[in-house]
Amino acid sequence: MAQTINTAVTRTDAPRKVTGTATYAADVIPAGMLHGAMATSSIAVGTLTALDTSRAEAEPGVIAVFTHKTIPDFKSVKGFYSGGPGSASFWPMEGTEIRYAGQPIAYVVAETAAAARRGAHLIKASYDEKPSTIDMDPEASFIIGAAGDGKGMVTTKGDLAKGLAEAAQTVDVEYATPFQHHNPMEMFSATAEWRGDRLTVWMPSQSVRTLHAGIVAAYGLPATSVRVICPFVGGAFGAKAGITPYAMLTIAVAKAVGAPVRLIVTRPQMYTVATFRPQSLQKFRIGADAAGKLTAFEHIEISQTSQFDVVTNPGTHITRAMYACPNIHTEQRVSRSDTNSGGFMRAPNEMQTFFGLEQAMDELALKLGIDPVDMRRINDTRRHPVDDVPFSSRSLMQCYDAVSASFGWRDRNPAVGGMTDGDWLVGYGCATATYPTNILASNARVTMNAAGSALVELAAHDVGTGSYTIFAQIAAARLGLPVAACEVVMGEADLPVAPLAGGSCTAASAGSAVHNGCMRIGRAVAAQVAAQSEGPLSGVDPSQITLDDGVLRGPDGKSQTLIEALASTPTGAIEVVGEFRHPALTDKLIRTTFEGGYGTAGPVTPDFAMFAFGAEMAEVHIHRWTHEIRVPRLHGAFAAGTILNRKTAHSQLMGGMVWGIGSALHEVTETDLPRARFLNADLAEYLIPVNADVREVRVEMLDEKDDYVNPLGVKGIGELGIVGTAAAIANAVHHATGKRLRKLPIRISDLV
Amino acid sequence: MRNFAYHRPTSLADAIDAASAQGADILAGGTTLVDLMKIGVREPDALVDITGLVDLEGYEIGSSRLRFGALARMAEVGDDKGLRAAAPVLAESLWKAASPQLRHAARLGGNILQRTRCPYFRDTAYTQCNKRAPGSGCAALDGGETKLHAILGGSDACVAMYPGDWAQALIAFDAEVMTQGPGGKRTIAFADLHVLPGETPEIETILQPGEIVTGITVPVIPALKASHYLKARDRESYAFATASAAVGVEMNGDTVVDVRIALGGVASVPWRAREAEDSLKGGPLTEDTARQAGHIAFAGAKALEGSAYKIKLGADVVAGALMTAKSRANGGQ
Amino acid sequence: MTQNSVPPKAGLSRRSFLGTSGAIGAALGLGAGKAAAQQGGPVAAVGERPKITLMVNGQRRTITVEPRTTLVEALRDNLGLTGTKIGCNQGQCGACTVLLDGRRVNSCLTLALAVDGSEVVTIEGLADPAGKLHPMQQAFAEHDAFQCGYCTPGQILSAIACIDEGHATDAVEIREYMSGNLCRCGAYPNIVAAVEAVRDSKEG
Repeated sequence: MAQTINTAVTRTDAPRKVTGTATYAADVIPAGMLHGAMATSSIAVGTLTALDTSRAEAEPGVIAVFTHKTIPDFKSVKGFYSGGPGSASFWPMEGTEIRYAGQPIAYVVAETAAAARRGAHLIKASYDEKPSTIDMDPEASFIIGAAGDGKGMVTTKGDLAKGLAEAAQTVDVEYATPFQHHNPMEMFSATAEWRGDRLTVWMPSQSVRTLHAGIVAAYGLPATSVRVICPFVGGAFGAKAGITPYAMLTIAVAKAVGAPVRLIVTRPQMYTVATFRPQSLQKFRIGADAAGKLTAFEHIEISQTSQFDVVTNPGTHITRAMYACPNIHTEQRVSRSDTNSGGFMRAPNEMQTFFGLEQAMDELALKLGIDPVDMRRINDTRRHPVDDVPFSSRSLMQCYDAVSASFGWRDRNPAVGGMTDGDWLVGYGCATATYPTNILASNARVTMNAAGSALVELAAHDVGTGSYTIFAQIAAARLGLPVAACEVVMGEADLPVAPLAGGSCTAASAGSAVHNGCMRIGRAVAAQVAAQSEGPLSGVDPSQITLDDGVLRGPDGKSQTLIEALASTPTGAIEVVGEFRHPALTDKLIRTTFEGGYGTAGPVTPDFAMFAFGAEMAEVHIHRWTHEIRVPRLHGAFAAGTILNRKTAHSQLMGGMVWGIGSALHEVTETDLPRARFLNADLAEYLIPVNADVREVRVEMLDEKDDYVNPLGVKGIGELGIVGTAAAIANAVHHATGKRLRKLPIRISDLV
Repeated sequence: MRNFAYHRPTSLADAIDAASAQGADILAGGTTLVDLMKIGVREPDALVDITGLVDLEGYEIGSSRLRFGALARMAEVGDDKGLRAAAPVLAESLWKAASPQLRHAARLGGNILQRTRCPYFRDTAYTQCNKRAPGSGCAALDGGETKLHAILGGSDACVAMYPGDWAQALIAFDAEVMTQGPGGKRTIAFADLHVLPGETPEIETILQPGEIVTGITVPVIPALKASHYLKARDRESYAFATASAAVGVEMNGDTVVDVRIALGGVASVPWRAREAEDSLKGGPLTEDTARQAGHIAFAGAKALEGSAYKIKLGADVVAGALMTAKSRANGGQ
Repeated sequence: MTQNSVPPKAGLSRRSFLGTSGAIGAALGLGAGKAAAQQGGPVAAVGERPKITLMVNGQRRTITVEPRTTLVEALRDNLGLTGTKIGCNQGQCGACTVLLDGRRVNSCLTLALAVDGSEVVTIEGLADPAGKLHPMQQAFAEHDAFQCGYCTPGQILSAIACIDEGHATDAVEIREYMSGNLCRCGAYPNIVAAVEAVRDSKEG
């Protein structure tokens, strides 16, 4: 059954998803459930001076209205990465202070969702308003952590000035990226039901255990009294990672009204009650000698943060790992403005930084007269340029070779504006993709019986990533069972510890725990059959018995299937907990994950640097009359260690590339400067790609072996696809038009 | 959404009666109105659902006039092969609008009365909006984001843009709107239906309380067959126009006999560019003259902060649309 | 006004993939709420909760709604048919797409009271009673035409309508006529492949 790994297996949850029977959080309707709705602030900064709730209370169907004064037992929670990208440290409805537009100021409970929303609309707030600003001011930025050790997040290697002086060509450029919002199709929601001191919460989450730990701590409840359930998540992309005020408000309100309450956050409110991708400015100074070898590399990233937190997504820690260079300087800076705190959004360190880096490399290559692909080849490296450890595996140039062949890179006319197709200008562009391999502790309970079925249980998540399917595949391959015989249960906090679904870690880390659990079953059953008085493996040294494809095999070639072996044991069944503890994981990191946090080792350990790589090529067409920009072809080749499921992995990488199209051409959260509000907070005006925007997307997954990262050899693929796409498209736009566009998104207005 | 009384008249007379009441809004497909009610921009006391008036659902591709019932669905009409052949601009401006689902629900009479997408109008958190709350000011002009606002037809009180597509085709081809209200029936030239915002942006049309659009007609002229709706937008589908042009031409050899040009995505109301048309009549239609016409169309445009690009873009879109229309006049696609 | 030769109801039964006729509603006495309207008076005054009857997935369902209750709320909260999803509640994403009298519409912008007496097909009504998937459901599964699965019910209903409307002749047309259903996971190429596969199997 080993062939189940690295094959195209249809999702095991597909039947439920195509019949509407996959249960998302807001599909659960507890008996007697009431509906919640939030009112939010119309101003960004100031003080709430009065809240008139009388009209809301008079609205038929409204049961209760809660404000900061009246909400009982509302608990703020300092969750994982609190005060950073995990969750904001400032909580609404604890007082009268308003610190961002769209801040929750009241919560209405009603018999129907329509009545609750109407009640929320009728709440009238008065404010003492103060000046506010929403766009960051790069001039006012500061180095993250500088207050701590006086140095902060700065990298210095060699002598940058010397490197720049030695360069035959340099680029000194700035790239800007906007606020973006995740906009998962499933709206945020929370449903809370108290039965005495027992609480059940249904909420779409990338980390049921984070939520669980936060609730347990806030209310001082025994862990077993709180259930957090979300078997299916309708997209997350970082938006559902933390503990949010709207969830804790719903929990408090449900307790107060003595009935289950469900809140569905409106689409416009989704822009302010959770996180987003902060604005950023990417400053690069790069120099190379005449042969194209980098002599100097400087990257200063300035990203937006709130007034109360320092949101850290250190993109410079990724860019500095890309290319060989003796003289490196990086700084990680932030600048404050009046928003809620930003957070993680798909490739949080990489999307915006690679929009800069990979255009800067293109600009430098063109100045030097070097083919952009050759530019990457000349500067490819086997060792991390700063940390000076080898990459555990790095197949960047194999990716470029593969994508160049599929795309027809060498057939292009390299001259700017040299290619047309009817009324369309044509351009080709390429860019590097990478994503760090995050390693986290994980457990998984694996149960198997002699009837030939297995159960895999862990508090991991399938946010559309295919985790249900790949965990079943891993168990099937190791235990020698059909995939359909391996049931996977996830999305509940009281299951064995597994990490947050973020940082592309689930397949690698939780998957390794499933693998280790299966191998533990093999060892345990081997010990039992070796101790038996008869049987093919009777008397064999159990440490010499291996499990491979569901077959126990002794050193002399004697073998027995695991099912047969299990049938010969007294119980005919076995339950184990598989553990994944990478040697690079410290006790502290393991403890962090067990407490609901994100305890990641990597991407650089004392022994290796661990990254997945890819190369993307885009063809863009720009219409001579409408100036519309379209992407008829987008090819990517990726090397990310073992591919567990060629169908779901393909979808993950393709989906990432589609996100890249969105970042390149569509996505921007516009800002209203005088009133510091996000302006286009809905799905009509915040553009994401529609079906017609996505034409040929080709994904190639290269074979790559990496024995260091984890026993499965898996790196992450959930975010890799988006990294580099926007730069590849921007480089192609330059090739087509000669216009170098250093600001996302690239719109018609930029090309007129 | 505020609750409301719901009427479902089965006769036009009853509909007019119910719709004449203070606080009543007329509901057809609901794709604009229900949305605005959900976000609290419209708070009617009563809805008069006229979709029971099934006599208004039909349409006819006649040889001298095209007739459209006010309750014909955008999807049915926009996908009609006969209309695509007879009047490409009318079909294209329908099927390039919104989404299939919205077009199946939305009716033609409602479509021409589509409300602006101005974010300051739609988000009631903004206290300033002269259109939503007369006299309150204009947040867009008070330092707001204006790159998507009207560069033609705006006033100091309001620069909200008319977002529709079909209306550009209708105004270009001298459509007429038939209505019936408490005062009886009337026929309105499409160009007279919408009014400039001026000092009263809350008034968008000349329709009176209780007056119901019953149908729309378009005279068939040669330029209708060689017509085109070109819509520039930042995503390929399901997006409002960044700039658009509804055009048609009638050629006699190399000479322009008749030409129609209307502009979308740039003006506060459906916008006919008559001076641009005049610049082409009696002369040749080349890329140069088409571009020239495009520039004339925007001669009176007033760019707002961030919207200067629309002047150049709009001119290019006019020119590109004209070249396609010319190709169609010569038997091409 | 002269009526077009394709009366909506006739077009309907022709397109209805279930093969049920638009006349069934009348035969079963649906539309009672419509008939109950007083001459000139409202069907429902403010605060009233009239009864409506819908033919949902071939079953006659009578529920009480407010005038402001949308079809998607009626389906999910009144009838417990939670397969239909809400993605924006503003007609901007297509997640709530259902077939209403054979036409695909956004059920979040549809007032339940306004469609009293109508036929509604939701994702729950596609598989046959034995659980055999509709060909479009099967194709979505095989082609991995989703990831998180949240937009999928709406995509599948829209895809069925796309073919029935005759808007699946090639990939370009499918992409255009499937653009009313946003998929944030980016499964679009696989959705197109699924639609093509079902179209081809019908032709064959």
